[in-house]
Amino acid sequence: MAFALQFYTLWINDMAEHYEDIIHQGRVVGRRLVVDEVPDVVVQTRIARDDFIERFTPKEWLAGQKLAQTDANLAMALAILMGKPDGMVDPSSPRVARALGIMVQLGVLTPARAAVIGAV
Amino acid sequence: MADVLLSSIVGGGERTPATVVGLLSGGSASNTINVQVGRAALEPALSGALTAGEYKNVVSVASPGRLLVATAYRNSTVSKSVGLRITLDGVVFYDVLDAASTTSGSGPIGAGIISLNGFSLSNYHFNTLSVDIKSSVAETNGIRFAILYTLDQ
Repeated sequence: MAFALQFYTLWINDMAEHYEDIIHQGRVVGRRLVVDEVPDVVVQTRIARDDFIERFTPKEWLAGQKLAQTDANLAMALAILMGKPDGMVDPSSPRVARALGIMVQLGVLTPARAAVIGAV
Repeated sequence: MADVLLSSIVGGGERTPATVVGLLSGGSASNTINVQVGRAALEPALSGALTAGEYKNVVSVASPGRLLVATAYRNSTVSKSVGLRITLDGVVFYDVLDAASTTSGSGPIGAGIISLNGFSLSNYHFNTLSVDIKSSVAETNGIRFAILYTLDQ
C-alpha cells in the first residue's frame, strides 16, 4: 500500500497589529503602530521518493526506466528527481511536471495518468 | 528693543513650524518614493487594517524633538488615494490626500525631500508630534509609512 507522507508547511497570515510605547529617558512619551510582517500563506507539499515512485504502476515505471536509457531528456529529468539527497519529491514542482510531460510525450503515460501521478 | 521671551532663555524657545508651503497639494499625483526610502535605509512600517477615508494614528509623541522625514506610500496596486497628516504641537502642519493611483510605492511626503539617492532631511522642531495616515479604500497593509524623528535630551 502506498503510504503518502505529506508535509505541509503553513504560515497563517494572522497579522498582529498593536501600538508600542515610545520610551525616552525612562518614561513613556508616546506610541507607535507596529504591524508584524508575516508572509502570505505558503503551502509546501513534498512526499517521500518511494511513495512518489509507487504512484506509477510497475509497468509505467519500467517503461520509463527503459526509455530513459535512450532519451537523454527523460534520463536527466529522472536523475534530478531521484537524486535529491533528502529523499523527498515535490509533485507540484516544475521538475516533476517536466518529467511527467516527457513521459506523456514518449507515450509512457496518458495525460490523465500524469495528472494523477503529479497531483499534490 | 526686540522682546525676549523667557522661554528662549531657559530653553524650549525654538519655534515649531505651523505649516509647510510648496509641497504636493491635495489631489495631486504623488511621486514614487519607496526606492528612496530603501536607499536612505529608513525602516518603513505597515499600515495594518485601514478603514476607507478614516485617518489612523501611526505615531504619537509628547516629548520635544525634531521631525526629519514623514511619508506614506502605496504598498499595493489597488487604486486609491493616500493621505498623510502631520500635527506638530497640536497644529495640523501638513494634511494631504493625493490623487487616486495604482502605482505601488507612490505617496505624499510631509517632511523630508526625496533626491535621487534618498532623502534630504527636514528639521522641524516639535514639542508634540502626531502622524496619521489614511486610504480612500478599506485595505489591510495597503500603505507603508516611514517616519524619522529625533527626541531631545
